[in-house]
Amino acid sequence: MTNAGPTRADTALDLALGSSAVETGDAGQEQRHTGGLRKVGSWFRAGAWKSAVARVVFVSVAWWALCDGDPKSFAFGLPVVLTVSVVSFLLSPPQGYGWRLTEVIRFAGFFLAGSVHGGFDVARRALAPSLPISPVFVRYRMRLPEGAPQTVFRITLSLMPGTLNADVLGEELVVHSLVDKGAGIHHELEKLEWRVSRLFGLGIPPPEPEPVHA
Amino acid sequence: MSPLELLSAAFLFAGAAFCLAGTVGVLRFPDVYCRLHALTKVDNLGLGLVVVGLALRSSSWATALKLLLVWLFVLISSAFTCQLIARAALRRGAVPWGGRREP
Repeated sequence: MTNAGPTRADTALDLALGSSAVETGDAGQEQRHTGGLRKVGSWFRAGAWKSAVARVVFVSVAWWALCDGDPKSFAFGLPVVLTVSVVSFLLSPPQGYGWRLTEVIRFAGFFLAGSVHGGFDVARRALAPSLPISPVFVRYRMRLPEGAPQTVFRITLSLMPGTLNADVLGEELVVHSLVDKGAGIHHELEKLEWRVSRLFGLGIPPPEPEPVHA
Repeated sequence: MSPLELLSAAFLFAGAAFCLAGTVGVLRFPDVYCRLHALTKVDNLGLGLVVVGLALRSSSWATALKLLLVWLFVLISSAFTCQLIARAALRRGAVPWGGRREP
């Protein structure tokens, strides 16, 4: 009967809403109530307030932009912002990653530079008369945990120069590369994965220095 | 024309050029996987440049931000769509092109 204790509530952090709803469904009516409250409490211990603030700010700014900053829209916008924030919390509860704003900005800069580079690279190859491509499939075993970190990794991977995420087989990614760079592809993926892990405050060891290309 | 309008025009032209390059890529690349590279990367850069060009001409910060949000959501959805198409192609057994063309 004590399965709603603190450890239980903490593991609920890592679960999607679906599984935690099943869990509370097994317990009694009374337990469901306190379990939910404890879960909310444990979110806030795990630093979820940061996630809450970030989501509310994002939704508010998006509403402000959508309504062209018209002050008359705020009366309707406030309930919308609150509802959307609550629904977002219910659909995807905060995972308790220790992300920092400075890292997010640094990653955004890296992402922007990478996608510009990626666009230039592919455009150059598409327009060059000789069509210099040597496509190849590679497999890559991810070290990032499931959920948001893997998703961010896969999205950025598809927009970085030369690589494209084609399939996921468990922990293994099937990556299509436009240019066969041999071991270079693997090294680039490792570096990208390390950057994503830093974004989420996760400790994945940085890649070893790049081997000298022959 | 004010300097701002000139800058905006430069961004719009550059964006259009990248969209064109992306389309050329779709037509020239040999298989579905390579074509996806052209669609995701080049067109996203093209759209990004067009968005910056339009944001420079927009009358308010809110409109500029709205354009930026459009780009962000297109970016996310195109990355996902591209992955779904590549996966569907792989599972249907679309044969990848095996050639090599060195620069």
